[in-house]
Amino acid sequence: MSAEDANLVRRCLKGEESAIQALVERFQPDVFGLCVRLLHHRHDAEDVTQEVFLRIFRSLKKWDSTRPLRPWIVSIAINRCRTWMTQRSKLPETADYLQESAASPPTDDGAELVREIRDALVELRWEYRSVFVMYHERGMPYEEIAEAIEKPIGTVKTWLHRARLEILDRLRRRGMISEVEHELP
Amino acid sequence: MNCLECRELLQRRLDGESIPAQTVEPHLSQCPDCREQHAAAQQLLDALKHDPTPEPSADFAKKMTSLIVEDRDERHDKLRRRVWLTLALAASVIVGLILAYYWIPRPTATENKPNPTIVDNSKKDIPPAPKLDRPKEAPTRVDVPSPLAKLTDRWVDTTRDHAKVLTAVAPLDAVPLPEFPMNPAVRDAGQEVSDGVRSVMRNARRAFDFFARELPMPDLAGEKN
Repeated sequence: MSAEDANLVRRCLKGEESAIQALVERFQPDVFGLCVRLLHHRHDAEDVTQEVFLRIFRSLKKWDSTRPLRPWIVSIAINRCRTWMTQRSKLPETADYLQESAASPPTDDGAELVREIRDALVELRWEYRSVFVMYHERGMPYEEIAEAIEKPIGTVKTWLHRARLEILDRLRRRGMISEVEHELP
Repeated sequence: MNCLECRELLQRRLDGESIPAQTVEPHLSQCPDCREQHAAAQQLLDALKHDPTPEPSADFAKKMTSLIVEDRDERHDKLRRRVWLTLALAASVIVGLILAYYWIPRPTATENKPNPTIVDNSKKDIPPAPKLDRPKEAPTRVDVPSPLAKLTDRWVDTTRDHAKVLTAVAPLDAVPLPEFPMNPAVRDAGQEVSDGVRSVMRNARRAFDFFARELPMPDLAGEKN
């Protein structure tokens, strides 16, 4: 995978448009998914995703080819989202923000629960939120998350556990938990 | 098993580990808090599993590619402009330095000397003034073959006669010339002025000779007769 990434990056640096498009297509689910979940706003997420890819290609020469590409890209996305959140917090809230949701709400029975989980995510500390999204939404292993946020794996585990506990607490407080059979996998 | 161990197993379960049911079931049946927590965890996992992954618009990759290419070209142009601007600035600085080297008057050796009013020159030996190179012989009539030469000769003869009269009355050797202590800086400046004037005069004389050669020659032989 790493050799494939390195080859793709080499072609991008040569200026091949097909390679650029391939790299975008390969990582756009990760970047866009992260942005949507972290920013909780689809329109902002598209803007930030564009910025992230522009930054990725501007600094592609700096990528260390001995290290995996995905955590490097994810780290850029997380930093941009954080900067965007800081800038947005300084702006007055507009009606547009209140009306537009992150993604279309699901229509099944779990719609309410999903909405509650998303709201709980917004209330989490930034570090907890990003680790939770990377692990549960994007399916990244601990090692990659640790590399992306440049923290030890132990810290990642601690943050993830705390994030889960806070979300579970909120779900319980909001009465979203129904008595179920404890079928352990 | 206590609550702490049970929650540790809960975290491992959320990490995707497979936990045997018989391990936690006895505790969950007795502890409503842990039971509720496990139920919440199960619902959280189910909800996340069924939550649709957000996707960007279909043509996002294509639009992004064209944006990246545009951005790259723009940055290349900017870099090229910056390089040219730097080169132009460097060239103009070099040209300016060259012009300054040739145009700005440099301080001469005399300017670097200490102020003559401060230095006590009274005890120093004043070197004699250098002798100027003067033409040993006055130009003859052959050198200036024109009616103008005759007029000049006449003035020269008159002046020589006057000088003869004066030297007869008061010989130059008998008159002691007063010796003034001369500042070396003034003397050097006078020397430079003299050299400059001499070169200008030489050039003027050459120009005059060149002009005089073009004038019609008078019939000097007939005049002599």
